[in-house]
Amino acid sequence: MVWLLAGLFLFPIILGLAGTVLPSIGWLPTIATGQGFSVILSDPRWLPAVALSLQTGIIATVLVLALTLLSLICVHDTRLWQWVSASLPPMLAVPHAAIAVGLLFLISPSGALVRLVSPELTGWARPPTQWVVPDANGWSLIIGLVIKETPFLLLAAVSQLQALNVDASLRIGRTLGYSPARCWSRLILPRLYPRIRLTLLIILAFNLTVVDMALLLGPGNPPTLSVLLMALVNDPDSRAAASAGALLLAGLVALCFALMYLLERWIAGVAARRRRSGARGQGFGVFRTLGQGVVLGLLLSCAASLVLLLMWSFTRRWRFPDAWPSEWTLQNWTSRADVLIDPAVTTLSIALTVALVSLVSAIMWLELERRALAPRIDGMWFLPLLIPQVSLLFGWQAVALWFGWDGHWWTVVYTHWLYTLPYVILILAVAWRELDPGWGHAAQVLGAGYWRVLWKIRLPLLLRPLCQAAAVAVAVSVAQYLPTLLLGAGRHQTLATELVTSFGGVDRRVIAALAVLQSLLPLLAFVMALLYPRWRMSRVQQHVKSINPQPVLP
Amino acid sequence: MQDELRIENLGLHLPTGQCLVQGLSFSIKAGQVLALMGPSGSGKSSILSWLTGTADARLHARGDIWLGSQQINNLPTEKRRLGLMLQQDYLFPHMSVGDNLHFGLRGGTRQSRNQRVSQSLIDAGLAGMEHRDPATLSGGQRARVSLIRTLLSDPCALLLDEPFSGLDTALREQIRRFTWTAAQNLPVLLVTHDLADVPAEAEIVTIGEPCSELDLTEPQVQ
Amino acid sequence: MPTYRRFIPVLFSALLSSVATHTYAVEPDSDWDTVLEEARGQTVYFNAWGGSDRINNYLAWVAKELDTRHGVTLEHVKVGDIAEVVGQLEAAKLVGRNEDGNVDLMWINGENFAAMKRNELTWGPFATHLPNSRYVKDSPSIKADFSVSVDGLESPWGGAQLVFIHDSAAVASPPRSADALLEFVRGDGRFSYPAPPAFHGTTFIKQLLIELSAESASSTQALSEPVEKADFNAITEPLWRYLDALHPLLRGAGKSWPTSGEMTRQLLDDGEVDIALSFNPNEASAAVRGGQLPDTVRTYVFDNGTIGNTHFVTIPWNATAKAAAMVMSDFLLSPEAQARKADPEIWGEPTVLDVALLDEADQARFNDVDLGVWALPIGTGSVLPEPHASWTVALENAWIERYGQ
Repeated sequence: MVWLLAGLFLFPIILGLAGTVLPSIGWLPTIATGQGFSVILSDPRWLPAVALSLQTGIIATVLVLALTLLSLICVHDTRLWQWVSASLPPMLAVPHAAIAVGLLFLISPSGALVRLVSPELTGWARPPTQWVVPDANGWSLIIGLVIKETPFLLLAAVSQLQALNVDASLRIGRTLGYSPARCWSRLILPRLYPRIRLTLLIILAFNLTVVDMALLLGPGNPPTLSVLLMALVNDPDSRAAASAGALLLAGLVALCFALMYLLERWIAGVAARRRRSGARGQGFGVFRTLGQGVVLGLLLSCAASLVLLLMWSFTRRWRFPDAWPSEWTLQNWTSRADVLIDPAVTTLSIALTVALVSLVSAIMWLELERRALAPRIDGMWFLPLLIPQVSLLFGWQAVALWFGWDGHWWTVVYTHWLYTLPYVILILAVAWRELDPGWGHAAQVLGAGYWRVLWKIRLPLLLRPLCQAAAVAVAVSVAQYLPTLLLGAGRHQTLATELVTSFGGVDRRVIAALAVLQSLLPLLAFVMALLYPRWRMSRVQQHVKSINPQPVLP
Repeated sequence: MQDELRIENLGLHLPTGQCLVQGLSFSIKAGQVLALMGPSGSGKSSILSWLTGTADARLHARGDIWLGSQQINNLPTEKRRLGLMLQQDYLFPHMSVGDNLHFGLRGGTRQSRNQRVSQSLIDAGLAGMEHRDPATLSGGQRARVSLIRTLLSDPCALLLDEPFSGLDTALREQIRRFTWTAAQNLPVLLVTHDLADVPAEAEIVTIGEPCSELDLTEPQVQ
Repeated sequence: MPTYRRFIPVLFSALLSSVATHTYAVEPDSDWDTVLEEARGQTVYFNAWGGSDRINNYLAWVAKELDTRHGVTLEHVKVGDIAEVVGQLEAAKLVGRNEDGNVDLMWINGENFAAMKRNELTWGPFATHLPNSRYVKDSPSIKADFSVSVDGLESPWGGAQLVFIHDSAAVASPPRSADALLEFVRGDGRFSYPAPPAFHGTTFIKQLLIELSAESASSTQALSEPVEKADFNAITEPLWRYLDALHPLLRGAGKSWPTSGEMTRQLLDDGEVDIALSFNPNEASAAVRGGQLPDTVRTYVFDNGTIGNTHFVTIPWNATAKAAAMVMSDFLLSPEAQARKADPEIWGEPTVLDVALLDEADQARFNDVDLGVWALPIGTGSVLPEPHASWTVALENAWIERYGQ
């Protein structure tokens, strides 16, 4: 059973990598002809694309880390913090593509920001020409990545704060005369960083290799490397080149990991020296206000993007420079229902199946692990998140093509599972390991066998993390673009593929409706994950009220 | 009439090889209470978890457990029919009081099961509390629910691990009396460090004597 | 026991029916009743560019009609660029997947059709055997697709011509030639075009190339022949000189480009550009009625005419539901479907049928279509033929090499 599960998980990873490596060196000539490496390296777009990928990926990652630390230092312990921490899960749940579209509506020269202040404040009767979105240097993409990935890192950091006993550290540091900023940088960050390093690596790998966001927000000419490779992969004449490029991209990511490691060592060295200086630092009033402003801006731009999607989806007419739509309509939803419903149903059926399968397989693994029948190998689950999607999926698609598996619904579900299982298993692992074994023992002693204990005691007690994990699985699946596109052979159109492929061509108002729908599914999943356990508990408690209105006893 | 609980030649060593008990044997007849006493860390609780088969797998243990003429140490926990009460009551928070009691019942028609649960609640002075959320019960009520839940699972012996130490002094005496009455037909093994918990007629076994370390020949330990 | 032996393969083939082999009787020239009979119950996977919701909506109507009339299920597989599908078919040919292909019918023309014909990826001359093919216009752009002979391997679906849309409220007299366009952007006019290989962008640079080489008879001749025979650098030199001057003055300064013709229309509505590109003379009407453009827009073409062509549907050699694909191709050609497609409220695309050949009732369907003042006035501007299909890729690659980095 252990081997079956681990095998199912590793099978696409190993075959996928092989399916990328072999064509790139000229094997599997039936799928890919020609010499991959020489072709891709001599492509005139290669160097600019590499430069662009590195530039957007690295700048975005540095900004994500900086903003995360800024929010922790400047906003933690203020009233704003409640808002920030409450908005993290929904921000995380909104799919990348939807945020990207909303952001386009926001920051374009003819976008909502300019419309709001024009022509009264700016004098612009027509959209300004000083900038365009997407811009050629990738800043739009960087902004999109920062908005989407900062909540992810922040959430990872927040979950560690309790273990780090931050409040005590701050108290001790401040009684020793250090400014709060110094307390963070000298007492907390050195301990926090190792705990969020892996998340940061995942974000770095993602930022360097993202496809859907880069298609929507990135420059097109040249595009980022992963988008360039996507344009090459479906042509048998250039598949070898695409495979070779995907391998080089994986190498590039590994190189960036190594660079990050060196940078980390260097900063740690500098920090250690400076810690000994004993300097207490100044108060940080201005810095703090600035930090709060930036964090607030981040939250607001995410919220504004979502609101804009919703507004555009009900708009009939909204011309520049009106601050508000002049005509509203329900038509984008009603008359285009067929464009919306089919992909929504496909998305939902895939997402729910994937969530269920991920939950069952994660529970199986964690139960085996708990009973010492499976080893504890957390590192393995991170593999799909650290290997660039293009590097893995080009090969996996070639393998699927070879065996005739492409285009099957189960192949799409299987590939989604590969990307949801890591999150599900890592969320559940914490809960599983923390659950007092006494509950199980108490039930066993009462005569309940293994399955009854699992079904009646362990799973209900873990209902909350199970629901959270299911919601995350739904969110991850709904956002998957590349796996659906490459393995679905065009037969399974989800909201993600529909949104990305039809963007630019289809009516903006229908795009908005698609994006709203794509955001709504994971948000609903999160709301249900929050409410369902409460509803379960309230059923028990309702009896209390109806039968015995007595207050809680000591 | 229940059988006697017999432990023969029990030896327990920590994973490090440190000895907890060695060559411990005793037997408890039905209706008899045996109190296992000793300083904390002497392995009292480990003995109980070994008896129920819920001990940490890394614990080195040998010895036999007999219930009457049946040797039970190779049975899985749920088949050993040893009722266990701990300091923490482990009332399942996602079930009502009634569901908690039903959970331990073995067999019987729906009607007879409902009957037994209601009757036991009445006997425990908890009549009508079947639909209550355990979280709304007082400490004393929880202790009683926990005990009747154990008894409803028809155990052949009762193992108690500091069952009274979580209660305030006023309640303690009440729950002790309730327990000894309820358990009067079973062999009872009581683990405690408080002599006041031990009934007057009980036999007392003290552990915590130094014993020889386990000769760890297995290479993986140490 | 013997009964079981026979039963097992039957069971297996039943289980695997969704993936396994079927033998189909229909051939490109099968009797039409046979085709209709076999088509009933089949599902057509129609691979077509899915970037326009008008077209998608039209196809949704086609799906409904096919289901009620012929019991055929239509699945519209939306693709970004049909060249990718041609690539997948080439891959399938290489691995020898000659049956049960993923694609039953595809929307195609030009270089992609040339590639399919060259690599023998088409099924056969089914188009001339469709009952409705008798109404099709007798036109050179229907017989030859980008100078490549069609031979019945694809069935015509619609006609198209490159047109420009401008907002008369913002720009009273738009540029009507390549040179005027350059003057227009020099004088603060806002313009951009989709970066090739996006379809509208490629067509736009072909248009420029034709116009800039109009004075040289040899160049004009070379464009109608395969690019291998021509002195590519010499013929395209004026084009690159023109684009070098144009690009810095475009929206996005030649560094950031719209991704499609539809996007230029949206940018026109936003005021980020003054002129949008379309391949549909009636698109502006549809857009004004749909609330996507102000009613001050007008459609026009360059004074010397603009490129026009026909687009087709074709059945790949390994299609699974060939009969249903034929039924659908025929339905797309029916006067009813063509008239509906010509209506700007629906899609608004010129028909490939010769309306004069139709009976009165069907002619009335076309006469009822109201194009509105926003569409290209009928009879304006001549239609220029496409260069030979092989020029498309050569021009795209040269463009990417110069401006795509």
